[in-house]
Amino acid sequence: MSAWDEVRAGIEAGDAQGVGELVRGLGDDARRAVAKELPAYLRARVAETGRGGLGDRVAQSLLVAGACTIGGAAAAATWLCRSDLRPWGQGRDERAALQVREATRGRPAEWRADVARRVAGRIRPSGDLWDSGLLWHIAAELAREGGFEPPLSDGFVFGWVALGGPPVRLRDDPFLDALLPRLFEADGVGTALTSPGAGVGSPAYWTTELAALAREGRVDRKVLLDGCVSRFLRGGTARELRSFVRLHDALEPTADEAADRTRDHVRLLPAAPPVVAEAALREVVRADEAGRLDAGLFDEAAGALLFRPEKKLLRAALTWLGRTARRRDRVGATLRAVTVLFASDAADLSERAVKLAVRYAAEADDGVREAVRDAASELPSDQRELIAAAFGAVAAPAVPSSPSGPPPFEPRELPAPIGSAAGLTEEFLAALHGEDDRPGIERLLAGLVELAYRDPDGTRGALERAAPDITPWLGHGGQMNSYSPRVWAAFCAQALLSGSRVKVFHPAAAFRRGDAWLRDRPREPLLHRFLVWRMREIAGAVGRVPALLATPTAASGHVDPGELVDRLERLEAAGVRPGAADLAQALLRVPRVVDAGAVTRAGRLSSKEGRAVASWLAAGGLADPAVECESLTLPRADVPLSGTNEPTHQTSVLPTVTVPDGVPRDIARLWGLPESGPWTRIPRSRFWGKTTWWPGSLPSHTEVAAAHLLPYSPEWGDDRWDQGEVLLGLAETDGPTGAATATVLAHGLSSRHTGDRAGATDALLAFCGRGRLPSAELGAAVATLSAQGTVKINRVTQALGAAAEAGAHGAVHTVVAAALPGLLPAPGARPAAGLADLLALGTRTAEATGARGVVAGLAEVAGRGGSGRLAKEAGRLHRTLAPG
Amino acid sequence: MANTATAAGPAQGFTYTRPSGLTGGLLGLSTSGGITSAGPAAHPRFFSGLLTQAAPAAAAMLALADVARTRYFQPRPTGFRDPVVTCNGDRLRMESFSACCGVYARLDVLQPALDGEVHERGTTNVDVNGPLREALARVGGADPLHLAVGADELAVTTLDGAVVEKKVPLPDRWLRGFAEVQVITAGFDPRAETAGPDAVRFLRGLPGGRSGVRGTLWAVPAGRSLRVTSRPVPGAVCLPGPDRLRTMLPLLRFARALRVYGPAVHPGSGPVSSVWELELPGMRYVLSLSPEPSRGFSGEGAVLDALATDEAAGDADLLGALLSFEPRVEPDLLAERSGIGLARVKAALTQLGTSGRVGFDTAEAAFFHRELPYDPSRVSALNPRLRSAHALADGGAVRLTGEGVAVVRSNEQDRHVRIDGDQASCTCQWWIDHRGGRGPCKHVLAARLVQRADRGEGRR
Repeated sequence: MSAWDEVRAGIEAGDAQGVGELVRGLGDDARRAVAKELPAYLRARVAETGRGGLGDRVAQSLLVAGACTIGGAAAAATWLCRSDLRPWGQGRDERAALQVREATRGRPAEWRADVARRVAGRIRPSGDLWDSGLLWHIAAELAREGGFEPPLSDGFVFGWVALGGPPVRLRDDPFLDALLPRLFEADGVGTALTSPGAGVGSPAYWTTELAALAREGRVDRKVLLDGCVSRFLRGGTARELRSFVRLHDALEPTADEAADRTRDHVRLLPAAPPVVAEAALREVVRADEAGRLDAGLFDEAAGALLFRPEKKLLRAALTWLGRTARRRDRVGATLRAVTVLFASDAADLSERAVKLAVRYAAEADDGVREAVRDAASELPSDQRELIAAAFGAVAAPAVPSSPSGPPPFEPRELPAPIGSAAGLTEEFLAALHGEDDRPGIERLLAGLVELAYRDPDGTRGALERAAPDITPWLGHGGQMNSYSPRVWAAFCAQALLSGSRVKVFHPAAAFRRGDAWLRDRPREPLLHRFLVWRMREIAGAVGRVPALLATPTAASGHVDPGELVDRLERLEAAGVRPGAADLAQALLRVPRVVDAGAVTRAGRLSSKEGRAVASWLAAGGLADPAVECESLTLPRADVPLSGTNEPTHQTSVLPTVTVPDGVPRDIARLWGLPESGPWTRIPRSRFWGKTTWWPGSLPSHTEVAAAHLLPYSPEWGDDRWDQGEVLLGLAETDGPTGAATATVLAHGLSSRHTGDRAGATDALLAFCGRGRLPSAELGAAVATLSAQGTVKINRVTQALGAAAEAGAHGAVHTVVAAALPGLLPAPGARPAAGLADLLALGTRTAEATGARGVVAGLAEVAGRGGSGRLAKEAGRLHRTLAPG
Repeated sequence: MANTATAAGPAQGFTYTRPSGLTGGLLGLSTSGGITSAGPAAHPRFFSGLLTQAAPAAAAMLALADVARTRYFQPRPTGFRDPVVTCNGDRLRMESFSACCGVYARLDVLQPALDGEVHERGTTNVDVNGPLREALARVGGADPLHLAVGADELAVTTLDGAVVEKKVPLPDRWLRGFAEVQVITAGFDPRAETAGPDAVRFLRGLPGGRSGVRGTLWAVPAGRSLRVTSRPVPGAVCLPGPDRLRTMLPLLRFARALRVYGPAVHPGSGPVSSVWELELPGMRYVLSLSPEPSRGFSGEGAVLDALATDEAAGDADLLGALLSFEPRVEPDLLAERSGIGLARVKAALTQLGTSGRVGFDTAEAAFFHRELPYDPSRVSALNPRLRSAHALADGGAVRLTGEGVAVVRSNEQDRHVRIDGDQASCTCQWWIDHRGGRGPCKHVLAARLVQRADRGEGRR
């Protein structure tokens, strides 16, 4: 039996210790022979068992065998770092590392140090140590055993923090002296310090332990303090630096120590994360109190602090500056520094800066007085007057910064229709992998229908040739259940490829009868059911009709009446009838203003559908349905799980659409809300389909489309449902706007994600640009929904602010003024987060437009006084709106 | 030919005579091998003198170093990469890519901020290390700062030994990024400019977190500032992954203006690149963003059409010899000196750009000369798409079936390519996904190669 056979038997038995003893007893040649067999053996085992299937004991035995037999340090380290030899589970890493240590006992010290260094170099200084825990333990065991200097790689230091600690206490740790300076340099240590590994228990373990060692004189305080400051200077995120701030504070630096590092602390003020900047400010203030902050550094510190965006730091800085200006004999420098806050958006900060300036006015020299006067032009008029009274006349502010009036509305353009089979093929493939955008897919379907009628064989051939890897999955019956319109489009193409006739009875009935008829898909929205019906109908019409009636000719979704009459003429000439859904959609897409020529031509149409269109055009569309919105408290349709604390009832805004008489049956069914009887439950607000298609289905009835969207819009606050795109689509439609439009817009403006909120803001501007924004209703909706908890004022304020900057001052002011009465808090009540900013926006827009007026409740809140920001902003808005 | 290339790029070795450092008010940047106007040099010496705007310069160098060590897409820690420094005579340019290759950062230190002696023009790498970062963060106030890019040979030889050797795997995509970014940005126009305070407000108002932004944002001029919008309108610039501008935040206290450059966009445009330039006292800090955080500049394919031809190669060689690290390459002047006419000079400059031998400065709308301290031939040799296209063309996979129509057999499937002048389309997945937004696919490239060969234009 060769040495390898014996070793292999040991490995297969999972007897790591036995393998260790065995290989240590081998001669050099036998070891080399074993080492040579190992890689191939491992490959075969892994191939047999799959990754991670070796089992811990086998893996450990292999580690030990390799550690003992592989000659070169580099090759041995590579073996030890193999990911398929990592044990799984608690405590296995330590045991495996001990075995490796024992197995290499006979190796020369330099070899072991080299292996330790190489293994340590492979530890990634981040994330969890699941996969590199073993490496750290091997390197650490080798270093401890050999008594040589531990590896200094970032990964090893990181592992030391994350895995070291108890049972070895820090004071007894052999690595302490060597690794301590690296603690402040290695990447990843900061986060590891706050979330140390198992056994340590408290996140403050490292900081309290190190501070204690410094007190005892076991480690040099200077190393720790300088280390912290170095780490701060090297930069990082708050998360990485927080534990060093804790250590720094736990060391309780003396006034002298603070003063020795004042220059560094000042240099941290401009750009360090807030948690570091606050600590640095504390130290700077202490140095200042000890009289160790020179004039140059003071200027630098004050300038850096007052430029920061964090209000907390600004307040702390103002307190410091105000308290020490006279005592430290630097009134001039202080006043020059605080003028920067005159331009602050926060009324309490700018007012505090003004107050501070006025307090020291008498001690300021001419240069300083001029600087204060210059900066004061930025202030609102009442504050400007305070400065003028103390410092002399102040120039009026410069011209307003924003454009006047919202940007003009620019409708999107539709791409030209698809003209060739090759083009259709490319578009078809792109659509299958692209977005579900309505204009694109309707264009694709129109092209498919027309080409399939004109040139069925050519079109079928082009599609078949170009899509060999896509066609097989087309055409399964379940596809119409998909929520994705591009899958519907694929289904339509499949109808052409397979030549089989698609039945449309099922979706038509699902639309018409709704809940009662189709039990398996009970809660799908009306408009969605209508879409499914229409798409299915198109699949049945491919190759049989020359054109679709309802394909839009404008991005808004409208169909040009002349073009509609053309299409009907082509259908009549071909002797085919349009589908019922296609006809209904075409009627809904007729613009609100129809030119006389189209009406005349429509009169000559002879088919039943042609006459229906003619009378619709002649009537100039229909009277608008009445849309009303109401806050209702009802049981929820999605009953909360038992055992949760969620309420069973909910208050929501729900729409009612009342359809006038004389409207065709399918259209009346499509418009009306709720579907049957009054609302008895708050419907589920989550719907996975594409609501982006809805506005373009009702392009002449904005408020109706909004009413249909409304039950689903509460979801827009925290999640992404393409609300920006939906609202932009809505803004392009025509027709009256009111409470429903305002409510969905308010939900969109409260989107959590910047992109969605920007989309809602664009929609607001588009409504404004077309003179169709229901401003007062929007304000009221914001207040109502804020009270119901579905709209966040800080987000809405940010969006409205952006709209104002884009030029919509007037409309935004109306919105804010309408929202405030419902939002201003009663005495003692907690205001909505961001209300102060909304008040400030009200002031800004009032100043830009010269608006005056009375906001219910504002005088009362302003009159309550107080030093908080809300009181200051309420006071400022009240004064701005006061007539005079 | 190209098929001998290996998947992993070789490691690039850098040798510095000593680490860069800041001692006693002297910022000494150590250089490794580079090319100067006098030829290759082991440790070129470019500049010594006073940096008159010490605080902004130090902060901007830190910002550049931050970009170099950040992976904006799927973040994880990465090591330092040393910036490329070019001395154009009147200015120093430092260039770097983010580790994900989606952000290109350049700091142009201009004449007003430099007061000293230019020893040599050229390009090299400079060492950046942890202690240097710390020292740069300590610079502030009105402290004067002396700068030396490359050390005096004498001073070096008398120093005893602290040679710094760095071996970093040099990803080929980093190298390709250098070639792509200026071909992409050379077509950009100024779109917006805002003064200091408005720039501060705009940049501070951008969403910070990575998670906060999915999808593409755009920025349009509004009044004196910019506003974020959700869709491209005429005059808008793309703002893909706004958190990638965050290295500008610590520089805002020095900001005099923010200028933005981009291509013309229209409603329905897909995401595109943009250039964001922060004007600081005596210098400019410029960030170029790739069209999406997940896209590195290296894969944008903007150079592929130019790389696939030899049309301007001869002219490029001619021009390359005439260039001498000019801060602004003047096409008129070059046309005169080379005698090949303006149109050919412009084509040749594009060709030079494909190997990274010129960069583009959007602020001056001009190319500048540099010689990357890497082997430029690897840009074309290791371009995977071009390599695949040559393989397809050489392997007879391309059938020209009609005027501007070709069938390319690839992976046992037929791809249908249509070519109409500069426009082309294909039925492959890559084309469907990007629709030409990331350059031609290998099938289109291969079809063009064969088409050109067919017309007797010749190819490599």
